[in-house]
Amino acid sequence: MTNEKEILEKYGKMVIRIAFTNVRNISDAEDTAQDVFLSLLVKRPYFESEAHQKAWLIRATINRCKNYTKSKWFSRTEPLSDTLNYLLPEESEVLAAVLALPQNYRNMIHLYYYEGYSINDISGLLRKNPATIGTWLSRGRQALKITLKGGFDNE
Amino acid sequence: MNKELYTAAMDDLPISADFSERVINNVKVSRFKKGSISHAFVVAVILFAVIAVSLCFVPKIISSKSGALSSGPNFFSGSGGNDFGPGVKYLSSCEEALYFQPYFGRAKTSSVFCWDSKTLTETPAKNIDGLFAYSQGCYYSTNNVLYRYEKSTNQAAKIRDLNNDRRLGDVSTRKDFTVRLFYADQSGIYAACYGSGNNANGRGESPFFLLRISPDGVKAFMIYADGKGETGTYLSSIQVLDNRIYYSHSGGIYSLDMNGGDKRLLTTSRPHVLYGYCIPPTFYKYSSGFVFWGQPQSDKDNPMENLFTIKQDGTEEKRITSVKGFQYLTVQNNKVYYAVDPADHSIMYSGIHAYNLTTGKDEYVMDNKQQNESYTGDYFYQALPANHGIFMVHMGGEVCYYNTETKKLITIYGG
Repeated sequence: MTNEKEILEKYGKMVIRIAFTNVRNISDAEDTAQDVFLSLLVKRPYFESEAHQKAWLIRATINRCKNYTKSKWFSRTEPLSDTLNYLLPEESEVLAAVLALPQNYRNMIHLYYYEGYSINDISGLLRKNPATIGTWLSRGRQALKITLKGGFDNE
Repeated sequence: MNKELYTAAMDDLPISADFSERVINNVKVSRFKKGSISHAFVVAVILFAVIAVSLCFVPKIISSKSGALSSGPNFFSGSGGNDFGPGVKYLSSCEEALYFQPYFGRAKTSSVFCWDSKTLTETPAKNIDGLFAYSQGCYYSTNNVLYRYEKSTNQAAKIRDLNNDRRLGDVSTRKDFTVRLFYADQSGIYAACYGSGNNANGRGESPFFLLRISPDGVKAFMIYADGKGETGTYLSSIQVLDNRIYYSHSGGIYSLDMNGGDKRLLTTSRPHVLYGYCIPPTFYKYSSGFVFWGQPQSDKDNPMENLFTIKQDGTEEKRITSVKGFQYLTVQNNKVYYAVDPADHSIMYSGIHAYNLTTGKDEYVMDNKQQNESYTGDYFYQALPANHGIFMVHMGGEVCYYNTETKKLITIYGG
């Protein structure tokens, strides 16, 4: 795929949502997503397939977000929390519960439930052991069960 | 229920409508900056020339120059834009010499270059699709015609047109095929031929067959292996060690006598799927009777993880290290050199590492380039052994030589 607009249309929202899951702020999420796409479109890494490109985007986004959240700038500033007023109260409650989870658990919940990846897929994407992914996902679910009635129904 | 609410909340995120437009504008700005100072310098010189000439009242020349000014920075596009991948397109080394062909899309040249430890020479070889270095030069193929290049004369001579040799195999119905050279000695030049040519991503299509071409080019012998027509697999790596051919595809790792005969299945437990224009060398001699190889990661990306070793008879398979993040690995003085890419910095330091086969310990050799970037695709990507060090190719096409004795890194070619 060479058309820049096509790539952005296809993956733009996905990347922003993953970034939002990590940085919990839509402005920072868009900035991070922009960095990721700049890397992709300027440096043009080699991809075997679209799936490979998508995996690269997800991995690059999460890595950039980790760098950002670990940065001194991030630790010394108070992010402008997004008000979730535009959402229905129950949607807002669920989103807030997910965003309150530790970063790794949030990513697992998002990739598994929203993007529809399996544990093995996520393991390949993030280059982590499937058992580790399973543990993170399970802990994320357990935490959600405590904060949300019913938790994230599964399997 | 909560799952659906989460999905709905994510769907409703207030994402800026002009996000795509903003990114595209920033990409343009970035490219202009990257289009380099040299471009700005050229533009400045042309502007200066235009002004100077206009002051001399020569309007005809001004009009002809103004056309040149209209062309913008074009570093990543234009003809050959698709011919663009990480590192260089082909590379092969022998002793102190390295031969490589950059990607046309980046270097704007399709010539093969030769580095002989002192000078860089542009050879007459162009647009190749197979390359193998030997002590006096290199063998290469272009449009399925095999040539020999000699360093001393900087000239190439045709050895054999292989276009008719496809009929030697059971793949004669295939109209096209592509030649990859993987070995040469006194008995001949060895080539793997992909039955249906080179596809878009550079991976060979099945079935494939193996050929040995006599040194004088008079004869071409079919080596009977999977050339009988094994389908559904991709030849991913092929190399000669101790007078046996080792090759791999998604079905497993095999070995074959140099004269053909029955292939020997070494293992199916580690499906080996690498890809790339160069067929990266991944098998190495470990110790007497053993070979080892790096295993690709589960997402079939280039980086590898785990070094495995196995006896030549297919027994005693074992993992000797589980370190992750291998890119192309190469061996020199009983050490396996590999690069860890910046995306894996959480696992270990990005940079060049060496796994010592004697001690079984990992050594940190040097920083990788731009390791502070989170994941931009900037790091050493390809590596090949040299006499006193290793040749390394940066993701962006810069070719370097690292002397493992003096610990000095020099740039051979700018990329």
